Amino acid sequence: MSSQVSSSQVSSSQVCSSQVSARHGAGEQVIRAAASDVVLAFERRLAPALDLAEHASDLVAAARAMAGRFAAGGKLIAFGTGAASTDAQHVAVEFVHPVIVGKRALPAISLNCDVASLTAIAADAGLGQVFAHQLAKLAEPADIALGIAVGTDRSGVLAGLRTARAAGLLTVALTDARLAVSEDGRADHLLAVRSADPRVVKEIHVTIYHLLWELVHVFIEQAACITCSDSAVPGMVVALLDDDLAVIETSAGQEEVSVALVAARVGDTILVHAGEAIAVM
Amino acid sequence: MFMRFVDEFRDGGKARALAAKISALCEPGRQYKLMEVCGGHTHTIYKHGLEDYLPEQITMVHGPGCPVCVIPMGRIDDAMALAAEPDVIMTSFGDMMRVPGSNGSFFDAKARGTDIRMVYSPLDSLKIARQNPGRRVVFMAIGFETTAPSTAMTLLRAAQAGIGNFSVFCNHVTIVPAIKAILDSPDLRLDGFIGPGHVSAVIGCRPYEFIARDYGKPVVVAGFEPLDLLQSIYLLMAQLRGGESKVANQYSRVVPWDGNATALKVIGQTMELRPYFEWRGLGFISHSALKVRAEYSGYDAELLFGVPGVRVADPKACQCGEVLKGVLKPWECKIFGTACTPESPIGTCMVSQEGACAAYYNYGRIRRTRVKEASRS
Repeated sequence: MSSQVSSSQVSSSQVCSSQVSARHGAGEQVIRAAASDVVLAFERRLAPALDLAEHASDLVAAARAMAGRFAAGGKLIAFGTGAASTDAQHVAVEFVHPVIVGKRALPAISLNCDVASLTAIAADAGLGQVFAHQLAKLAEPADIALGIAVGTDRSGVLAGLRTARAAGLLTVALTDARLAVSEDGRADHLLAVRSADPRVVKEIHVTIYHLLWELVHVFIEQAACITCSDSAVPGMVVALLDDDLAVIETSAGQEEVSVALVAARVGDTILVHAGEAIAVM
Repeated sequence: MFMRFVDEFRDGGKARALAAKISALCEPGRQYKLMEVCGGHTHTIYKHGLEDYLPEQITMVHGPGCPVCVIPMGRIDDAMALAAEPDVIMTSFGDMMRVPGSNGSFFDAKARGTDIRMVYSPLDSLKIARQNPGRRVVFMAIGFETTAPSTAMTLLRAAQAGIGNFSVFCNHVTIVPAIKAILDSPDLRLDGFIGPGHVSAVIGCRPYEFIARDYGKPVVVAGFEPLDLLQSIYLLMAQLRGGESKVANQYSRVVPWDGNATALKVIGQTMELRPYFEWRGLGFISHSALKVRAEYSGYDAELLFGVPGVRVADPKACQCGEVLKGVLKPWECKIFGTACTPESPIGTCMVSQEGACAAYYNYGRIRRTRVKEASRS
């Protein structure tokens, strides 16, 4: 039994070997072709990823503005159509229930979750109004509207962003390249993925909103000069004004402070507490 | 972009080298308790994970130098009463907005319709007074000697410009009496102090000399970057190893030994010491706070409006007092991270980012596991 089995195994092995041998040339071709597809698959993602890196300052500006809204008591309202609807839910949960221990939970909701409202509004006013209607009733001016618009099914998202902008919300749009070209200006911050491939667009969108979450926390944690009464802010004197006041440049931008208690000159770095310079560094 | 005064004080290699030198100064079998007095230092320690660089023998104890954390509930209630007066616009720093009194916080009162506005400085408050001549604008002044000059200059400016609808609800406190109260506390034994950097920019280093002379404890005035703090701990440990107790100034790029004479002068012109003041967790400490001088009584909200002045006990579950004295670590408080979080604080230490509880909460200290960077290198 054992020898038969052994013989059969050898025989089977030989057959396989001969088949491999016979197909060796074709297999190599297949592998070469597959490798080429693999390379192309990576290459297709490379340009949009590099483009994202090139436009990092746009993303940082959006995150900074979002942090300001959260600091002012605003909440994030995310929405998207089709596949982007799950991105809207995803980004909301990132903020409201952070996976990183110790990160502060921030208020966020997705407008894609209430099926009753979505279907009722769609039935009465059409799909294009599902987000605009909810925003008109639920949003506050301090809030942030994050619309994710991809492909052709984007009229609802754009209507939502329009309504949000008119109501004073900070608007952030995640779009694909087509929208970036044709609809620029609909949002305060337009973060477009330069790719015609919807799979790549979605992948980069995920990266963008993960980065937005991370950077918002960076700005919130660095915001010592915004909310804390006893943190010193270093700043460079840009101009001296009347009444012992001066304009200084800080990491958060320019501000007017008092320099009555120090001998500050233009170009000096001064330490400011609660709007009053207490030392020249 | 390289940031002068910041990046050069965040060099990881130098931090590891300093940590090794600190470890080498530890005497075998001896435990060291060092208090960082200032909340800004607490924030830096946890933001940059500095405890993980220190040997197990060194424990950092968080002091009372967070201005928001030491305000008792009664003063919040007094401020709420002022805010509720007719035609009053109450103005406050942002972190005070969330501090709970016995009937909620400034934010709660604002939601109920009270006109309470967040400002970045007392000067902003004065601007609001100029813009609203028909309203009475009150500034909720808090902070140590770092923010007191700003309030003092604003009082002088208001008086000079004859702005009559501006006043100050003064809650400024002074750091030295609080340190003395801690030194006299029987339930805490400390080996040395990291002195507050920005307070010292105003008052200088001389006021700490009694700590070294009368209590035999070394003091090092420190800056706020990671290497500032590690170097200050090293300087403290070197003194302890050598059996010395002196006041040293590590933050000499900002702190003159004699402080800022102009700032001290304007504080003295407009404010004077109160006979006593209640500190959250520390109780009443004599000569530990400032009030508006009689010459500026027209700008003193306490005199203009009158306040209830009722002492209010802290919530029973809250252990901010023990945390402020350094007797308890934040995570040892019964409600830390559960009932009390930065989103919904019960105790003041969880409100300000300089509060020990908020620093622990925000930077993952709920793990309570120290990763020994010092032993890795």
